[in-house]
Amino acid sequence: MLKKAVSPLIALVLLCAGPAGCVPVNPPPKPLPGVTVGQTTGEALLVSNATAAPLTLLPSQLHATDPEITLAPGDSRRLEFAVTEEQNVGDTAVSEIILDDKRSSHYLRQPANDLILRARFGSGRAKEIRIAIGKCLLGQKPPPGGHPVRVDRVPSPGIPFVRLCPE
Amino acid sequence: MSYDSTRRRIIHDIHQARITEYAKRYRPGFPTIVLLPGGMGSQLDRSPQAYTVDGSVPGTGFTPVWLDLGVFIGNDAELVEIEPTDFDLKKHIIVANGPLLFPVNAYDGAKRFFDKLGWNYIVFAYDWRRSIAAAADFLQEFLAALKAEVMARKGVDPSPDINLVAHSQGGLVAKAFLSRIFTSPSVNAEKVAATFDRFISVGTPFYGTSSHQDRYYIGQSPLHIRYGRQRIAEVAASLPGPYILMFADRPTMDRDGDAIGMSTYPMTDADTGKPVDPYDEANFSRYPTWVNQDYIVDAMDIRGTITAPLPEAVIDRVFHVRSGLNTQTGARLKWKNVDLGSFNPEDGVSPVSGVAGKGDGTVPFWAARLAQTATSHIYSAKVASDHGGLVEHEEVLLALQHLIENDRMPKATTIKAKDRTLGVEKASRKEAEDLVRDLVDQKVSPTEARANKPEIWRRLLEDTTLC
Repeated sequence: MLKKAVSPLIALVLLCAGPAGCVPVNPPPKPLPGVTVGQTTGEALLVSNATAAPLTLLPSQLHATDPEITLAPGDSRRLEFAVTEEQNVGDTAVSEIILDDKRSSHYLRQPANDLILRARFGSGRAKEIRIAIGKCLLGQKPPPGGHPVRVDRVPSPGIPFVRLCPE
Repeated sequence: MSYDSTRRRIIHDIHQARITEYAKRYRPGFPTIVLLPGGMGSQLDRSPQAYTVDGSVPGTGFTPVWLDLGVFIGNDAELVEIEPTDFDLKKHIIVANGPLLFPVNAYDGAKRFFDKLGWNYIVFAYDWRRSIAAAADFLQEFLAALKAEVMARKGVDPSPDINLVAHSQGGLVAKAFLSRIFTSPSVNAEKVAATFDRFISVGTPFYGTSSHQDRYYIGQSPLHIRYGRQRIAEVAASLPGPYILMFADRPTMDRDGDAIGMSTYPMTDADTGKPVDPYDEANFSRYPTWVNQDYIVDAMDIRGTITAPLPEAVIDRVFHVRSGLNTQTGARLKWKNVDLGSFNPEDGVSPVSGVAGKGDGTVPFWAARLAQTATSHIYSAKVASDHGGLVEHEEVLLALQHLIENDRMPKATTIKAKDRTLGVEKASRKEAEDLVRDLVDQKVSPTEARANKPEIWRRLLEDTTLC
C-alpha cells in the first residue's frame, strides 16, 4: 500500500530531483513485439536411464502437480518439445529460440536459453540436466525416436549435458 | 507464451538494445571491456502488472525495485523476493536492466577510466538473485549477440579483444561461463583465442565471503530499519543465487585449501571448535526454517563447476585482482548452534561471527583466487582495500590497464596510484543510517537534496546488500 501511494512520487523524484537536476536511471525495458518466423514439429528427447539406480523425472515448478516419472535402469521416456524462432518486428537480424510451452512436455523448462530437465538420481536431491538448443533445430528433420539423452552420470552443474546443435 | 518465455524475451530485448548502442560506437582496434557487476550491482526493474497466461505483460511501465528510494520509503526490498515456484513475487516479472544508476552509477569511475583510454566498454547486467548457471547461460547469448551485431555494423569480430572484467559475484558468472563453453580438456587454443582475450576477476569470492551467512539469521543493516530483521532474512533466503556466497563446502576446501593458502577448514563450531560445513546436510537443522535447503545444495553443486579446473589454453587467460589490506575481514568464521526455538532475529545477534584476518572487508584474501591460477596471474593490491570500491580504485584500474596493454600483471612497484576512488566517495555509515531512519520516519522528503546525495547512496549501495 505504501509503495502504491508513493510510487508516483518516486517516479517524479527519479525524473527530476536531486542537486544535479534530473537523476539518471536506465531507460525502462521496452519489450519489442515479436513475430514467429519458424517452428519445429515432431521434436522430442529420448531420455534413457543408463545409471544403476532409478532416475526420477520431476515436473517443472510450473506444473508441480503433475506426477513424477520414475525410470528403472535401462528404461527410457520420450519427452516431446517444440521451439519457435521469434524475431523482433522490423529486425531481420536478431531472433531467438523459445520453448513453446503449450506444445512441450511439462518436465521441461527454459529459464534462460538451455532446456532444463530436473531429475532425481536414486534417492538423492533433484539435479538439473541441461539441454543446449539452437537454430539448427529449425532447419533439420528431427531424428526418429527423438534426440537421445543417455543419462549415465550426474550432470556437471551449469554445463549442458547434451548439445542438440553444434556450437 | 509461458512465464519463462515472456521473461527471457524481455531480457533478450534489453540486451539487444544495449548491444546495438555499443556496436554503433564500437572502435575497431581497441580492447573491449565487458564489465560484469558484483552482486546487487545490476539494476532490477519490475513489471507493473502480473504475468498473464497469454504473455501480455505490458511493454511499458517497468519500474526499478533495485535500487531507488522505494527501498526505504516503499517496499522494494520485499518485492525482490522469489517464490518457491521460481516466479517473482506475485507473478510479476523482474529483469536486470543495466548497471545501477540511482543516484550514482555503480561503476562510473571505471567507465570514465576506460572511456578516457578510448576502449570499448559495455556492462553485462544479470539478475543477481537467480542462479549463477542461468546468468552464465545468458552471458553466452549476450556475447554471441555482441559479436554478431559488431560484425554486421563494423565488419570486424570483437571477440578476440574482449576482456571479461568481473567484480565480486560477477566473477562467478564469468567462470561458470568459461566452464560451460570449454568443457573438453583438449580444447582448441584457436577457439579459445577467438572467444575472448582475458577473464579478470576483481575481488571475486570463488570460495565464499564472510558476510553472507548471517543474513539468513539477522537480515542486513540498514534494511532492517524499514522492514525488520526477520523479514529481510526471509527475503534473502528466497533468493537461490546468493547461497553460493557462504564459505565453500568441506570437500572443495580439502581439495583446494593448500593451493589457495587456507589449509584448515575456515568455519568451525563456536563451541566445539570442530569444522562445520554450511553445505553439509547434517548441519541443515542449524538454519532458520525460512532457509531453502534445495538452494543450498544447488549452490554447492554450481560451486563444483566454478572451482573446477579449466583447460590449459583457457586458464592461461585467467587473472585475479584481490586485496588483503583490510585486516578486519572475517577470514574465518565461527558458527554457533543456537536453539532456533528461542532465537529471535530482531535481537540482532548472529550465531555466525568472524575471526579477523586479511581480506577486502568482505572477501577473505584466500578466497579471491582459483586454485589453478598461476601466482604470476594474480595482483594483490598495495593500496586498495575496500571490496565495494575495488573496480573503481585508481590502483586496480591502472593494474587492469597494464595487464591488458602488456599481457602480464604489473609488479607492485610498477603501479603508482593514490588511495582514491575514481568514482563517488562514500559517506559515513552513520550518515547513511541517519538518512534511512529519516526517510522511514518521513522526516526528510524524497525530493530533498539530502535524500538523493550520491555519497550517501554510494554507502547504501554497499551496505544494503542481500548478496
